[in-house]
Amino acid sequence: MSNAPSAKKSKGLIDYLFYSWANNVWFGIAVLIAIFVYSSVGSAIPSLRQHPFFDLTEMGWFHWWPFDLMIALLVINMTTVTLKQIPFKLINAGVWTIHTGIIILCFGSVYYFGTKLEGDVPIFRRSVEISVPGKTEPVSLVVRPGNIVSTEGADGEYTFAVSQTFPEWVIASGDDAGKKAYMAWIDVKPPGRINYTRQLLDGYPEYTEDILPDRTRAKKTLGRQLVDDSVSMKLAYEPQTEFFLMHSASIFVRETESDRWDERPVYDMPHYNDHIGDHDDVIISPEQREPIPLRPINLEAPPKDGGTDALSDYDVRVTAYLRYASLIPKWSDGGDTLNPIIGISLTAGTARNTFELMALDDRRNTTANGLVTFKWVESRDAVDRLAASPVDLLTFKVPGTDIVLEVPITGPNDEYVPIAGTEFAYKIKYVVHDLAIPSGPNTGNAMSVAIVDIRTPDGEISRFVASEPTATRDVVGQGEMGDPSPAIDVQFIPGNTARITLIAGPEGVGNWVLFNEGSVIDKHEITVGDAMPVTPQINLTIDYLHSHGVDASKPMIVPKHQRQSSAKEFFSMVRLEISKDDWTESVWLPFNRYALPSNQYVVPRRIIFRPTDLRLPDGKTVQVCYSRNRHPLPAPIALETFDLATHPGGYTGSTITVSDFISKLRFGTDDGWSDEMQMSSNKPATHGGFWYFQSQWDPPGEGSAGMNYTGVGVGNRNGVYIQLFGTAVAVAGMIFAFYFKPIIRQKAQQKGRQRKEAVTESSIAQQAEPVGVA
Amino acid sequence: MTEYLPQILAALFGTIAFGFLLAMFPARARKITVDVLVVGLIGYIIYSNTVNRAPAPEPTPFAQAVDIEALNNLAVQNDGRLKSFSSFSRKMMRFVSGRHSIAGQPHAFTYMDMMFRPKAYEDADVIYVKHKDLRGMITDTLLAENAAEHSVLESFMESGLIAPSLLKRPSVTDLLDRLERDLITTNKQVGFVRSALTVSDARTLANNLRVVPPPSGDDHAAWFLIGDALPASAAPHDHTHSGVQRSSGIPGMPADTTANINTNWNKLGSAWQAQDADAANAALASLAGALRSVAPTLYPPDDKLELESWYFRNYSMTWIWVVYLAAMIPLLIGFVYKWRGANMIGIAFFLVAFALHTTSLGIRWHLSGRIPNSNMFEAIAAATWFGGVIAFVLEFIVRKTTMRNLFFLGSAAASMTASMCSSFMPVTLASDIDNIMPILLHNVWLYIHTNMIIASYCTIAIAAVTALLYLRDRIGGSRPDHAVLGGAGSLVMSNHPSAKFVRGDNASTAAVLDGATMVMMEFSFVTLWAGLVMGAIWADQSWGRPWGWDPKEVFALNTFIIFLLLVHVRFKVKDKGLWTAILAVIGCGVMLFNWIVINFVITGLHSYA
Repeated sequence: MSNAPSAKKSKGLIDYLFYSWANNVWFGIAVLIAIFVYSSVGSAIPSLRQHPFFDLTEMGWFHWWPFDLMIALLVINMTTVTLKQIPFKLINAGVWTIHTGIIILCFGSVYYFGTKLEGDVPIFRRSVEISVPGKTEPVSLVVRPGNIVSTEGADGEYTFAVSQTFPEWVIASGDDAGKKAYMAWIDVKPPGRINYTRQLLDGYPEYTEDILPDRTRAKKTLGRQLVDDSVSMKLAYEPQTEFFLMHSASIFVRETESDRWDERPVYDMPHYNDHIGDHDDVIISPEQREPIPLRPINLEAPPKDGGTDALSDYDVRVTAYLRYASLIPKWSDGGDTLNPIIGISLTAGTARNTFELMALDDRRNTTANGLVTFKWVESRDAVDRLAASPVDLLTFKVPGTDIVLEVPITGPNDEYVPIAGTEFAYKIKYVVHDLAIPSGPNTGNAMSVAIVDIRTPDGEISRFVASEPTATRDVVGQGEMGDPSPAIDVQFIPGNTARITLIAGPEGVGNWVLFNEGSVIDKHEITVGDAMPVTPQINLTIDYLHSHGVDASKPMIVPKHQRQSSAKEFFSMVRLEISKDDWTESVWLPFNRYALPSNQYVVPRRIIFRPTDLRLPDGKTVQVCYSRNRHPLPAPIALETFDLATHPGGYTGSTITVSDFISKLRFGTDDGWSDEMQMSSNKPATHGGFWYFQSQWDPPGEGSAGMNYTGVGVGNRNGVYIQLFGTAVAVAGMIFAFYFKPIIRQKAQQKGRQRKEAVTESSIAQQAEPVGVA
Repeated sequence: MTEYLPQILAALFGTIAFGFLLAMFPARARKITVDVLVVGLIGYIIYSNTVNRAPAPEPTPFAQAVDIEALNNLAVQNDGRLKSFSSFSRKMMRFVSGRHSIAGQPHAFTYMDMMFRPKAYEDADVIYVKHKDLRGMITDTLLAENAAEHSVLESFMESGLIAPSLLKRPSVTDLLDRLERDLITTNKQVGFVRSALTVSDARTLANNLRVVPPPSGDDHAAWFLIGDALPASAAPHDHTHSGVQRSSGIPGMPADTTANINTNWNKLGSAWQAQDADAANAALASLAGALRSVAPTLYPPDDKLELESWYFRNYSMTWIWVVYLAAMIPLLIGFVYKWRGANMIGIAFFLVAFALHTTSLGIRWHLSGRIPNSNMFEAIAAATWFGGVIAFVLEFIVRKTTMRNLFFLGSAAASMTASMCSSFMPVTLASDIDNIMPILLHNVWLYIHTNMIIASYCTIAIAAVTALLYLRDRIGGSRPDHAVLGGAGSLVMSNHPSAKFVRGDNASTAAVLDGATMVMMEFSFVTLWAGLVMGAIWADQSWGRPWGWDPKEVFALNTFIIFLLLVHVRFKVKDKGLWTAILAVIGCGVMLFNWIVINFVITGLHSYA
């Protein structure tokens, strides 16, 4: 007896904790209200879920444990209440079915969202496989106007550039006249020969032909379709084997020469909020209204699946994240190595153009199509040499005499030209510019060489006269090089063809600007900050000059009121910290939607690709880039055709004039490629358990006719049919509960009434019968 | 969204506080207060949008003398559609002047006048600045330069219309540049002002005038600009034609037709500039004939162009709200006072209103060649039309019950509100007939989903009307009552003792209203869920996922959750009628929030819906 109350109490607690709430309709109502409030604030007040405390995407918010917990509680409650409180009878079939349908839907959704993969990838229509004489491996060029590739053939360097594409070229003649095909024009620049354009028609290799610079067809002018048969080009698919997942982050690494990225996924990457450890790491915009709090992060970026990559020996971490920023290029002086950098402005009235040049970087020491160049020289003599002539100049000095002969090079000499007053003569053979200096302190920098035969009293010399005097050599014996003979001193000053040459040097040399007037060079000393007239309308100003420039670029956080709300993560940046032993390097990486193999896939304003070079302490250079998780496709996908269906009048620049985007895809199989599968608006293609849907397109504009690539959205759909089944069951339950149940009740009521009436009639009849009958 | 949070919270707390305050009044006073407030609010909305509008100025004699019908009935190819010049110019002018017509002129006239006489509009108040804060900033900037312009700017602050010359002043340009950088607050508004300036430029107007059909007769080909037909030597060398693409003529166009078009176009321009209406009308008639003769088979029939002109000239028939109002008032009186005559008048007006509503949608269907439910204007019109159809069906079912005429009343109220919104907000709810975006084409599930959701929305709105009447009844002191056997069950089992309110056996008004709310609620419950499911099927095929937690999806689900709550709360509480009414109104509020706030304020995948 004494144990009875405690046992009851104990049972009550257990009952309360594990059962009462589950069997309580009010609890279910409370959970529904909680779900309503949770989803309302998460969806209608994005700033709440984007608050640093949460920092969740829509998908993240509805995947977070509180939401999952609420759904789980609702399912338990519904299940318990249904089993315990709603008798399993036909009249209750509606509510049983609705509850069952919703529970099935919840389970289907758990499976669906738990295994969901969703992303996208651009697939280009074609690439050109190019073979040149003397090179066995063909080179590939993605067909997109502006793409360019060079390759070394047996006779020199060939350059190929996609000049234009035509999505619907109409074949004008022949058996296929009137048919439409995708066409690409490839500009060909062969070594030492005439340039031409090759016209490639997809699906019709027999119509490949060349167009000469005067826009005439080679067939008409030369009597043959191709200018050079030995240069082979053919259009091929440009398949993709991977796609990039939404709302994910990875760092990609590769050696500079490689076109294959190795992935380092970063989990828990922030989404909406800036995370920096120090305000000095960034530039604060003057228009920034709110203070920027310090929120350091330290996220590991290990190689995917424990693999190896170019940074395997290093610790790689993400130490800062900016949601919306732009990198402001900036240099400061004071580095350990010589790295001359100059910033100039050209102003005309209120218009101002700024340029930045780096003297020792051959890719960045000229600008404005070669009109402006920046050189670093070690002495005033070198300044004078640059100012000496706008054309290449050879200077001959015969030792022991006062004779100095300056010869402007206007072309090769057919015969020896005597040096007056001596027994020497010279014959200029040719001049080569932009050769790399093979050794010495300036190894790798560009130099020019004049090849000159010299007749001396003792015989003939063949001399390679370099603009870098220490590199001048004579040919001795069978093609071997030796020090130059002391019999004659020859110097080569390459002509300064740049319109404006900026010169700087160590202390004492000064800063100079040379204006090439055509026949003479005008030399002026200039100081930083001074303006100097280039023409009566245009002034030149040196804004800054650093002899030992170091990169001090920093991202500027774009103030919130200046951000595009639809930009998503496209303007985000991370700071990557790479360390090994006591060496640490940090670099800011802008977001790339795709980790692309090369710049050939870049489409202005649409597909941006900005990898960053990073120099390691062992001298090796690697490339890093920040993008999204990469996932293999079930099979390679190639784009066969991509067509635009329009309303009458064609595409006018507004999407409303487009009626459909139609991509025809092929999937890789063991035997090659599958049959064409159409993917268009609202009509996805299906393959390998994934759906492929139209997600982007390549509109005309920016000098392109467009339609060179299609954007393919990729997603799996595990559990969709379970969800669908659940919803269908619920709909059936609703219809039953609201519309069939009353009919059943009505009929039951009628039957009951009839039965009652029958019973009443029978009892009346019984009562009316005379006693004793039967 | 967060910037509206204080207003939303203030409105919410204000309503609750007002409710508490009202509760202290005696029942009769509460009833009268609510009635006065509702009638006053509706009256104010109507007054401020109709009577209180500034009268349109008298157009100039030239504007009155120009044969505007000939102009209206020209065909123009724009955004992939052939339109009447009337609807095309109306759309273009809305970019410039919002809902205002300039100097009382028809839009078609203003278009041509701006193109032929651009200088006349440099100092005229034609550019509409909608954003009041932006108006204030522009005014402050101009006043800082010249305080004497105070009266002009006062008028600008009032009407929102300002002259292009003022907007082109360096100080205003600098201000707009600065405000354009604020992407959240003012960028969009500055964009509207800039696009208004661009569209009002004579060259833009000329470069959009694709009125010459392709001589090839290809119905898919682009139509040509007048400028395409003008040889360089023949084109007038003025500002209007300076940006016109000149070619050597239109391929395939006979020389005499080209000459005819050129001659008449030049004559029209000269006459227009000289304000010679007779010459302009003659040139216009000849030009119209010449244009039609280029490809007669391509040219839309006259009656279609005339119908389109008529439709837009008549404000896309949004004035039918007046007829719905005329139906609603007697239906309300009839229900409250059980006055049969008022009901008959109300039904008669409802029939007329619904016939006009049907005609309006039919005209749009005929003109666009597709089901009219592709933009917000059409969705609202279609939703309320569905409401009318459902009301007819339900009224047939309940014709012998106490619920009769309630669905007409609910439908009339919903349709009146929707039509008033379309009528008073012509810029936000633009009635232009345009093509459908690709993502809204090529999928049968989309059509079913959209129509199913629209049907559910209209029944939610009708349920809210009966629920509001219930609440008003309760506020007025009626005793708590509800339909014991609610929904379709009360109609099917009308003989059941629990459904006696349907038969009128001492039925309380509250029970009848609750019963009607439940009928609509059940229908909404099923159609909303089915619509959501079909939307998910469409989304799966369009975006590769059936559900993406997009705000539109979330709030459609939230609307359904409210109805789930309604069903279960009704099951558990004592005062079932009251909670049903409250949750039905909340459900309608969530639905409207989804339709209005989510569409216009929060960016999402469904922003076109």
